[in-house]
Amino acid sequence: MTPLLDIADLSITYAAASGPVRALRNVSLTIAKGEVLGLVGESGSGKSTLASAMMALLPANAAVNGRLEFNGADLFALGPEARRRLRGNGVAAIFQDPFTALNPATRIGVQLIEFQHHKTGIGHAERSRRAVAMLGRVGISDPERRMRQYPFELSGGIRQRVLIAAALLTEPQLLIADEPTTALDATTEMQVVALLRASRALVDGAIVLVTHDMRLVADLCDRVAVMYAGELVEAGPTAEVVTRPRHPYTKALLACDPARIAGPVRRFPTIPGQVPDPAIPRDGCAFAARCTEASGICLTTPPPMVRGDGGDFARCHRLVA
Amino acid sequence: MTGVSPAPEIRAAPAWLKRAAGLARAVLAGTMGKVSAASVGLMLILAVSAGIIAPYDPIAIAPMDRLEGPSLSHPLGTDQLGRDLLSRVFEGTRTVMEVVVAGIGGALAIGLTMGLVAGFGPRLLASALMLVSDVVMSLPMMLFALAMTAMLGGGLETVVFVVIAFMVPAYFRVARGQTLTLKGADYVAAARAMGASPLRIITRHLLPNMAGPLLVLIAMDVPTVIGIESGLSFLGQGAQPPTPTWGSILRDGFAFIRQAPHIVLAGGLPILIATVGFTFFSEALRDALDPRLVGKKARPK
Amino acid sequence: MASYAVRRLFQSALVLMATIAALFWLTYIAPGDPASVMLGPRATAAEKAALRSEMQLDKPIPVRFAHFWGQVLDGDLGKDMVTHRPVATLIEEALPRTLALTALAIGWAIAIGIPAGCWCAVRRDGWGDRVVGVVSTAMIAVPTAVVGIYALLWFAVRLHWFPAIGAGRPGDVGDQLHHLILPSFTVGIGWVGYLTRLARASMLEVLDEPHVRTFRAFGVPGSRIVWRYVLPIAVTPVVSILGVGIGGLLSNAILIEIVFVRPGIGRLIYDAVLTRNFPVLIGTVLVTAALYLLINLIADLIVASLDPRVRAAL
Repeated sequence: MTPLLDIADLSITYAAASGPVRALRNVSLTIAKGEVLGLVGESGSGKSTLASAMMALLPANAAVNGRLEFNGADLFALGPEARRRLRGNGVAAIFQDPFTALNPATRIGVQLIEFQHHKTGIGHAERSRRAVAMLGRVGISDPERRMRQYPFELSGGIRQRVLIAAALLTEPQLLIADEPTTALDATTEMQVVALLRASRALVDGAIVLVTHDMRLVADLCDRVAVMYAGELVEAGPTAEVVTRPRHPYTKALLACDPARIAGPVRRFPTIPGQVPDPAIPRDGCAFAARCTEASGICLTTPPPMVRGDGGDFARCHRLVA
Repeated sequence: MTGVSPAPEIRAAPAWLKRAAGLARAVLAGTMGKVSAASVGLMLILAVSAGIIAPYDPIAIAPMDRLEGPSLSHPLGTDQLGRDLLSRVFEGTRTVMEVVVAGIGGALAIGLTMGLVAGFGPRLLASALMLVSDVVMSLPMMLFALAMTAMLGGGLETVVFVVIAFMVPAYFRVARGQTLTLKGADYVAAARAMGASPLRIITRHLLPNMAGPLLVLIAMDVPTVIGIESGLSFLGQGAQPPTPTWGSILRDGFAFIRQAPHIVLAGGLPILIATVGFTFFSEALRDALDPRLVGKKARPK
Repeated sequence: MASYAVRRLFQSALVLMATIAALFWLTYIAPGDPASVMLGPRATAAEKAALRSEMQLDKPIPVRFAHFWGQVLDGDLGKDMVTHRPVATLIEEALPRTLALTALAIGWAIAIGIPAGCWCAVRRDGWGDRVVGVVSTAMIAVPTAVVGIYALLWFAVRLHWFPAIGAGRPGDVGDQLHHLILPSFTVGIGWVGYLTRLARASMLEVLDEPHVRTFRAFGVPGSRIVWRYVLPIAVTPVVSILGVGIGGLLSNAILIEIVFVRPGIGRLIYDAVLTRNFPVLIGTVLVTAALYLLINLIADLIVASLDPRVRAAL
């Protein structure tokens, strides 16, 4: 069965004023229909760039190498117009900051109707009806009144629900949620997480959840892909990766999760060192400088992807038999 | 504590000098910066050296040579009284720059004081001052300038008064805004906690930080002052004959615009150079001071 | 919306009253004897005394102030010293001409400035953008009087494309428009430059905002995003700036009326200044200031209706 999304050796480089910035390096990943994939990494890991690539929404100064196939068609071989037709019509996205994602001078209803513009078969009244129905399904009370409100009249949690509703309205095959709860407080976060879980039933396709929060991944996702400094370092079933991480970075990341701290400690665990600058070319493993298990070969040769028994694979020299 | 001497105050003078030098470098980095700085420099040099380099006496009348076009002996021609226009332009540069300095200087001094007072002083006073400044700022300038010249009589002193009256609100606002912002800054709180007097806080902390925006404002205001002066002098309410300013040359030439257009061209030329030059200069200054651009490569021009 | 309008109205009224009070103070209370100034050095003592009692200069200040207010509210702005015609009538005749000039100037500015600004925003940092940037800054920098004189010299005296003087034959709209083109363009030229830069900056700012990205993520065509969702937001600072800038435009209109020898408020004030005709001066300044505040208010209200966030502030 062809995967919904097939990414092969994808590299994306931005042309910035100070020189080329390699945001993604040789990322290969597949996503099957019906699964929920978690994309984990810290800031600068390239997860947002990957999400943007999946959405076919890269800035003009991005140079792409490799393949990204959606339903068998290479997104970057298509022209910009074809990509535009795909957005909001097969691929939908939920963004991080609900406070700025909506147009402030337009009513919610108008925007929700606009978001359905690809559905040429149905008219204004029908789109309005669908929007009201979906608002109800995402748990917003009094949806008709909300349609006439402006974004600034709504709380962050409700705005995020509106954005989720908008994405679901397009009946996507691929839903990308880019850190949907980062800007929200803990209580609202719980509500949105519950909503995302329920959305699985509404999405006839796959969901990609981009986040830096491992607990969210453990909670919602079937599979997880871990990114570091623009590279995919480990990927596999969530249960496997979370309980038996194989890549040193994943291990360190999990160890740093405050929820995992058993007894009282004096300091929070951190990973010493800094993420390498994507503008500077490098040989060898990206994580080598900060890795406790690194050896000579790690600094000179890029590590291969090594398959494990549990169905996951990790990019590390130490795992090579 | 014996044996401990306070750290020597070595940074007082060089600090601002270094900043000024860095600023100059940043401004001169781009083409616009270079060209505009050259125009500004030209104006200032002319203003200072007018008396020395003018080939003729600016107010000497020579009726035999009236209304001559540009020639080798009179590069800009002569006006209706035979006066050499080049010399009058030079002298006019000096007069205009005097008006600029007096006007902006006065507005700066008054506005700054008012701003500091409003920032530190009682709320009621600050609100009252804000209202007054809103009134002045919001009304059509030429209208009020003319009304004031009617009440106070013409002449360059009136022009300076008008300039000060109109520019004070802007400097007041900047000073007040900066004072309010900086008042809440941590280092000011620290200074106060250490018992520094308000005067010391003002001179050591507030003024240096206000210097940037004020400098940009000054550079942006010079063309406005030139505009006020040339407008009022053109209408006969500013410089009185025989004092040459760019505006009064325009006035002289306007009456003869058909038979001797070179006069208005001569009067307008320094205005063009000065206003455009100072405007681009203020832009270069503003870009150089923009904290977001500090550290990045200079943008290609 | 209604409460915002009321608040702004109140604010404008306050400023207007403060202005009137200031004018009154400047004219009649400031040092100097208005009667002598108005009548000139050759007036006799009797003439001055007569004028003083007519102007109520001998009464105490509060009485004069009240009287002044009464007159203003009555619509009576005094009489022209020279022709003894009511000032209100003079203004009534002159104002429409100046307004026509100003309106056309704004028209030029909007018609050229806003499209130019949007054009530049779409071609950010390209050649065209930079050239227009320099030209528009130059347009802002040069004082209107100089632009007016040079335009007169070039287009009217040299090229004879437009008439140099006057407002045209009364009743002949075409001729009057022909006389209006050069002056109005001159008045508006600084604003063409300003609006270009403003529109460009505003567009760029809005285009960078996340909500534009949301629309693009949903595949909404770029042109629709710009026209329906970006432009209305981007245009609001332009509208409110216009409101603020009316004052500057009026100032320039006055100068240009004198350069092109056109009838209007400018000439009225100028002549009043030359002859120290205080009633005309005060009346004209008053009316112009009130008009200016009104236009400002309308502009602010338009902005508030376009962008609902503004109503929440203030």
